[in-house]
Amino acid sequence: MLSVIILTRDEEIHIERAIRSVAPIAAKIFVVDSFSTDRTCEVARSLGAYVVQHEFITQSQQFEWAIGALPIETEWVMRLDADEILTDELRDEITEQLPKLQRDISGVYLRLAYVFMGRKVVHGGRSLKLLRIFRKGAARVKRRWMDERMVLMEGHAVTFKNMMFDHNLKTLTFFIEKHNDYATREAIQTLCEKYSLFASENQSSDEDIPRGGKLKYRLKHNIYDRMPYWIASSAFFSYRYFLSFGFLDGKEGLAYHFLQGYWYRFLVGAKVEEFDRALRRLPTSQARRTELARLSGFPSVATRETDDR
Amino acid sequence: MAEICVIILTYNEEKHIERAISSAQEIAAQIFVVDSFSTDRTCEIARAFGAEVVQHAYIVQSRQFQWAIDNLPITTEWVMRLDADETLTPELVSEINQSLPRLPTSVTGVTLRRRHVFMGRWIRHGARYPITLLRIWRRGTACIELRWMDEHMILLCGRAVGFKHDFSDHNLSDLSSFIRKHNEYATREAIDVLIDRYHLLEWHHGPAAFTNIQMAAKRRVKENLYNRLPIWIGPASYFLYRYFVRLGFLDGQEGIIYHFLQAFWYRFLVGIKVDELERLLQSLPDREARIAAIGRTIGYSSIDLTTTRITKSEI
Repeated sequence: MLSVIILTRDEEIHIERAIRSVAPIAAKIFVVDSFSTDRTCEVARSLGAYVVQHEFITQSQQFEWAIGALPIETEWVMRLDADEILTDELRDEITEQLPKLQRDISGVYLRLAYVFMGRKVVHGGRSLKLLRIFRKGAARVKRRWMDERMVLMEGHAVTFKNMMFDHNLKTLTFFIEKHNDYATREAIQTLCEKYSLFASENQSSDEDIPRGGKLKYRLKHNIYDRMPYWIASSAFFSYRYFLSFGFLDGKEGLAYHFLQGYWYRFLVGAKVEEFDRALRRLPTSQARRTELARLSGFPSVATRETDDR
Repeated sequence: MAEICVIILTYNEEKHIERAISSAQEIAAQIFVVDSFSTDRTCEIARAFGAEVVQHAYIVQSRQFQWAIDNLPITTEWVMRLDADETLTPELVSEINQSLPRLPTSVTGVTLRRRHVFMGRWIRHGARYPITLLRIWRRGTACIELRWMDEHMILLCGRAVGFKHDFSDHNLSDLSSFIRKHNEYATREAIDVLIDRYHLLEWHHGPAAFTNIQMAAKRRVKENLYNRLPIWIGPASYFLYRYFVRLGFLDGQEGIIYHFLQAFWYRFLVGIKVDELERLLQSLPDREARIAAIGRTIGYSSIDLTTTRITKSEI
């Protein structure tokens, strides 16, 4: 009834946990691997997952490829990251509720929170709602450089009560490396929007934002994005850490809110500034794309294949 | 031309090495590039510009440099340490060429003033200028502190004088590379803290002999106060001090980025890495196991305590 898709690259420390976490509820588990150099594929196969390999450009393109190309036979599809796990309660809720959903419900939002350095981070506005389950064919992926989003093309969505967790077991060093890469991708996204470097409708719009998220989205676009980034990131951190009680998450929470809510946002802004210094002098979109590709080290920025259709 | 030999340690520095060598050529009779098996064109470029290139497996900056001064066929009276991303200002070039030969024999070391150039801008405020470092010494009179990070040269005899003019630390790589580098530095610095805390290695120099008061004072504050506070207080106060009290805000856009990342984020990261590593170490039964764990953290397989030698293996 439910197929689960997991995108991987070098996830040998997580993949078994992820597969076991969804095995009780999944008819089939697909692992779409971007040529891991570790034992990810081997482990996944040994646990009965269907493993395919496909070259990675962005998270959204990889997932888009997956829902188009995989032999999915179930009515529902779920997306899970390799470092995520479901709680028992969520598994039960999915098993019980999914078959009972009306025909006009074609998507399910799941609540996700982070576990950082072994501790649950539940304050600071960090429990997210993400569209993670949808009827086959009813959703598409919005192409972005960062923060890929699922968009329902038909029907409505409901939200399940119980939690899932993003619990990465790798080191802080890895966390920093990963966010360094994310920051580059998000800076690319920001500059593509600023200079309208995308071919078509990939400019951000609020069509696909969940109802509860609209206010947050407007705040980001109308206020956050208009402030200098160093003020915005400081304000965002203060909001998360003080007003949203992030300080209740202890030392680990502080580390998480500081890195993910402050340093990371600051770094995105700084990289936008760094790249934009070169871009703002250039006359044409094509010149900007070429320069941005060179500066960011992502050659596919120069071509149009990463644009949304 | 002064009687001086310049030593440059490299690993994948094709972007900087030509500039560093050209700068060194203004003063040096001998230039050695000690490369730790770069995978880019560093060695080729260095040779083309007339440097003598030696390759040697890298363990940490300090051991590599000590190896270099112990083993290179240096024939000059003076030795200088220069990083690949550094250059000498023309004023400093003249000062070295004119003043070095005239120094009395009681002077065995020379400290130089470093200016840091970040994203193309000289960061003049926020207590980051000038940073005075012992960079020139008479052959055989100095050694390097054996630490994982922030290793300084130490004079073994004689005294040091300061030259007036600056050299620049001007890295041309982008912010991503700055973050990558500091991510690695933070691990090394965290290891330094824990090695001292748990007395893990014999070769590790604590806050021993210092050639200059600035360094000694800084290190003492760092080791006694800083590493014991709750993790955020140190970095936050240090940033506020640098940015406001020491006028870091006068350094513009580049200054915001530099001071935030280098004072706040970086110090914070060191703090939480100490915490992360300490949890790991505390779960281990003995000193041997802890040393092995530290080795794994940075990609070395074992640390041989008896010979104080670290063996690198490809894991």
